[in-house]
Amino acid sequence: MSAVSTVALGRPARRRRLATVGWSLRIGLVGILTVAALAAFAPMIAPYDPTALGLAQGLTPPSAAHWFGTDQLGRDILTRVLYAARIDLQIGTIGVIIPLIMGAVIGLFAGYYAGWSDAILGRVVDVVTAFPFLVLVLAIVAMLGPGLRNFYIAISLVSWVAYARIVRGEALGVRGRGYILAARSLGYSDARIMFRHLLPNVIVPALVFGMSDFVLDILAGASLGFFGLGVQPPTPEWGVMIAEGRNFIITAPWVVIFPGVAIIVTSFFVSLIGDSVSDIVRRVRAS
Amino acid sequence: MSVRPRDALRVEALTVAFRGSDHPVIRGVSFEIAPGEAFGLVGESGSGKSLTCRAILRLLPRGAAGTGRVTYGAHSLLELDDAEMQALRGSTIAMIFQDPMTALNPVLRVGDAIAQVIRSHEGLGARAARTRALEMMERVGIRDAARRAAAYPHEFSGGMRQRVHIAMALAARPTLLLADEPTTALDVVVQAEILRLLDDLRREQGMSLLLVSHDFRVVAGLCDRVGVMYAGELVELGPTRAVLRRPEHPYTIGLMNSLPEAVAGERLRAIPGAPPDPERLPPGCAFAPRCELAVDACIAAPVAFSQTSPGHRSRCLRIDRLDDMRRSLAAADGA
Repeated sequence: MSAVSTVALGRPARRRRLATVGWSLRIGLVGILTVAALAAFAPMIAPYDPTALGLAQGLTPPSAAHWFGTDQLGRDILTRVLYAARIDLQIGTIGVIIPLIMGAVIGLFAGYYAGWSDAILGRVVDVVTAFPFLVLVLAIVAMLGPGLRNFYIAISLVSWVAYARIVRGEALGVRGRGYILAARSLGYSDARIMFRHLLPNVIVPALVFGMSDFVLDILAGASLGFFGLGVQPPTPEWGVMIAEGRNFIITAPWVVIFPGVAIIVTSFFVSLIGDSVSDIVRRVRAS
Repeated sequence: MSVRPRDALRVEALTVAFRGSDHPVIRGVSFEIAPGEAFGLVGESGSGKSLTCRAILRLLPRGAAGTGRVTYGAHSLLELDDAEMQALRGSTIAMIFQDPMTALNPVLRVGDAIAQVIRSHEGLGARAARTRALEMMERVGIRDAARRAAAYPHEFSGGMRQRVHIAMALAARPTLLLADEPTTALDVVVQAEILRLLDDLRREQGMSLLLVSHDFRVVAGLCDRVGVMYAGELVELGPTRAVLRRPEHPYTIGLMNSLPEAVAGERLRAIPGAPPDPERLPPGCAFAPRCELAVDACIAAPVAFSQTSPGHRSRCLRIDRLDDMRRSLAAADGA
């Protein structure tokens, strides 16, 4: 009896918690995995070659042969939207992971040691946040020269600041907790305390922010592509596709609509995940 | 369990001050804990008991610094470099804290938390450390350790968390344990269990114990000798039995009188007034403003910590007039 009841006790609670936040999280996860799968298997799924010209006459509307129509150079838009997902997911992922790691490490140091490292971080944060995000990224890419690699460098240089600020704030609050002092009393090194005891307790808000940052990075990538500073044609990228199609927006709106929808849908799924994760965190903290 | 070489802790003229203040919060505290001995520090909140513990482990809050001399065996703790001090923490001198609700990392499974202590200090592999961690959990009275090891702190009650916390502190077999109000946050029944556990473990491991509490009964049950702290200094120090039978300081008597169960059926006799602000200490005896026996000499100049009988010291000029106060204590005992 006792063994059965203790085992049974743990489960319904967990199931209930999952069930209530579950749907938006599930939809988000399934959605983003679907997008990722479409991107991964693009060569198999896509009906045409993404850079093949003149498959049809330019700017044909959606039809049985070209579901999303063709663009001004007669390329198949469905094929290009699928291939573009590869680049755009990569932009979102790398654009979050590198700044997240940089920001988390710097924020942990500043929050744990406080003192001068914190003062320096504070000044840097002030300077960077004084500029609009996109303007700063554009300026750096303009200096370094166009291309995806420079875009990643620019994103990393700018957006680590946001992660550092979040992690630093959390760490400042958590470092005073009893278990951090207890960890010190057990003779653990500062590095161990920071990365094994502090980090897991402060990283979740940064991860949640990362979800919205993912969307921001894709949009930044699209904007840069639009200005011709990001991904270079003929490589398909959603932002570049919209930029190239902007002159035909009245006469052939499908050229712009489909890559635009792809951006919106992807962003929507990622936001769903971010929202439900922060929801779960808030609930767990409240209980 | 092999008996490790044991050492004595000597605290000499320990003084703790916060940066930017010339009024130390701990003023010249000296005591000694013999190998295997249990020593208690008693006093009300803010008297400096916890800071004394943290000063010994050099874990003072930011901005506070300890001076004086603290030795444990051959180690002069206040003079070690940071790495040497860090190596002693947990492995030789360990500490347990007041609030078991916050002393455990919420994201670590308790079994892993205990195993981590063992691995980091004894360089054991994951399996061996886990086995030792489970043994440790059994030793502190957590039944079904193999299953409970996978649980997180929030799945434990307060008393069980304190057991886990004790298991962590003792996992690397320290020879000196500093226990800062280890039972204050627990209910009375659990308190008694935890105290008995601490006492058993101390005897088994031949450990020395510094037990800090605001509650005289907690210390009385466990400690061979006791020190009474007031406003950052020791006001009385002696064998527990002697101090209980014949307290030599009015503050000690007041502290005993203010225990909820000391005077059954009577109103609690609180000590009138409040402890002094460390920034505005009176020039003489710090307790004089609250003391019914105080005379001009008490207020004029600091009072020496003098011996009243072998091993028993008190910081009071009016020891010969304490009998009346002691009688209130005796009456309460009789009731």
